[in-house]
Amino acid sequence: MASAGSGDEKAAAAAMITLISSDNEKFEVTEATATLSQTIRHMIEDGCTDGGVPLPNVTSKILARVIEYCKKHATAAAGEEGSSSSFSDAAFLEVDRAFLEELEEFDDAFLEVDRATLFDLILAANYLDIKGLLNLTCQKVADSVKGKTPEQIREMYNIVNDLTPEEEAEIRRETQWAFE
Amino acid sequence: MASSSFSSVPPPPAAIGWAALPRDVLWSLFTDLGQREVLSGAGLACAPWRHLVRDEPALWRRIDLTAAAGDTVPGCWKAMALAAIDRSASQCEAFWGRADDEVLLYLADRAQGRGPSTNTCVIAIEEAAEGRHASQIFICNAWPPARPSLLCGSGLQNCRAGPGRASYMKSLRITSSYDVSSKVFAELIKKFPLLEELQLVLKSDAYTTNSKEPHTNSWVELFQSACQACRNLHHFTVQLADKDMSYDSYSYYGSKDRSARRFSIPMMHGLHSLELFGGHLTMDVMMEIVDNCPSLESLHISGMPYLYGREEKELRDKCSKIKDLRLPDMDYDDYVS
Repeated sequence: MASAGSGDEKAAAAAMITLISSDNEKFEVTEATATLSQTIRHMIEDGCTDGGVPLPNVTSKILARVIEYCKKHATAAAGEEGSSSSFSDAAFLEVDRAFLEELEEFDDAFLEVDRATLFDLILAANYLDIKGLLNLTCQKVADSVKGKTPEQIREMYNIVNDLTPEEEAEIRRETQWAFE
Repeated sequence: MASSSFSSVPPPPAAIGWAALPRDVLWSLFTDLGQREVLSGAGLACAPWRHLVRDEPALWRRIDLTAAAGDTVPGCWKAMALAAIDRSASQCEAFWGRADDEVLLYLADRAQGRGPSTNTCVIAIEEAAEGRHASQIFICNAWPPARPSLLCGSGLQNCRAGPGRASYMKSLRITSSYDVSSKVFAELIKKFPLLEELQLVLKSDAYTTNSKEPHTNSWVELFQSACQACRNLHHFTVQLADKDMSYDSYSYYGSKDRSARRFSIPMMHGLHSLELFGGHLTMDVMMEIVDNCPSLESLHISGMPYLYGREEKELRDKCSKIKDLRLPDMDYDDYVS
């Protein structure tokens, strides 16, 4: 695996990975953080991360947010693992709950973004294959369109109704029957 | 790109923005949303979203249109059910939600695959077993093998059974307002040989009841048909949603109708739980059930005509191994002895 020879004033044990955004900004992250992305995990496994991992589909603004998410969730995962052996069951449950609560608060705050950012985060989560982040962001969209009519959804998300007249007719036919 | 000025409405080119979300993302989004929402809202917003919903049967493999608690079942439940069944394109493994006879028949019709029929394959296996094609590697495309013993005895080394014409349906959880009949249900399950779970909840919804003769329903006969058709059955439940509703009419009717064909079921080793009500539940029927369902862990029976003294004791003794047993109150010893 890649040696952490030079940057040893940081955590010596953690292998670092460099991620490069579409606008050429470099981000140094630990392997534990980076591998929340399955895409990057596979690259590491294939040994093709030397010289940094270019991510041409992700801007620095979005990548910074994605890394923020991964750091938090990687820490939480590590914390859970570490605590399981050293606490009694009750204490462990307590710690566990605190972790989860903190994580939930983090997620809620994380999702306080405008629609454009949410959109970019979804695409990045999909491209980088970060399941937790994709679920989180999709859930946000799902919650926002729940109970809404197609027209309301179009308005909210700036979607053009490109259904052909034939399709519109088909939809009417399908839903009409309800009221017979 | 656009020739017009920024303020004018841009012509819709190929889908952009939210409409053009990748498939995997839409999949995740629609799964979160739930099928009822997808059918009535998001799935109709634009062409790409609609096409995914319409053309991706895997999204509909498990149809779940059950209303959330406190949610009134919308008037368009039927249109939704039919649309969902259409979209599942014969890959449906589960249908949960409101249904009536019409929906069930539609489901039976659509939930079947297009492979060769089980019978064709049995003939083919027989031919192979007789050595007519003995040297061939035979791949049977019908499931379930109608006669597993035949497969074993055929000496075929490389016989793989895959889904064929029979349906994949494993689980039915139906809520109805007395607009399903046990007769239609019995026809339906014959087409679902892989069925593992059948749950039917009968709701007396005064406004939607169009049952002309609910008394002709015999859920006991339905259970018998299910045992004969679905050898993998684990759970079978028919229950009344409103416990206070009288089922005396069923009992009364049933007790007069002893002329019905003799109740007989094959050994059902896999059956773990059974819930039934109705007057067709005679002592003989109960004995047959307990004898032939040795793995029963839960048995709930109601609306059974009264048993007395010795009969009741016999039945309770027989059920002694069943962990969760609920028989109707039969505490009538005072009356009898």
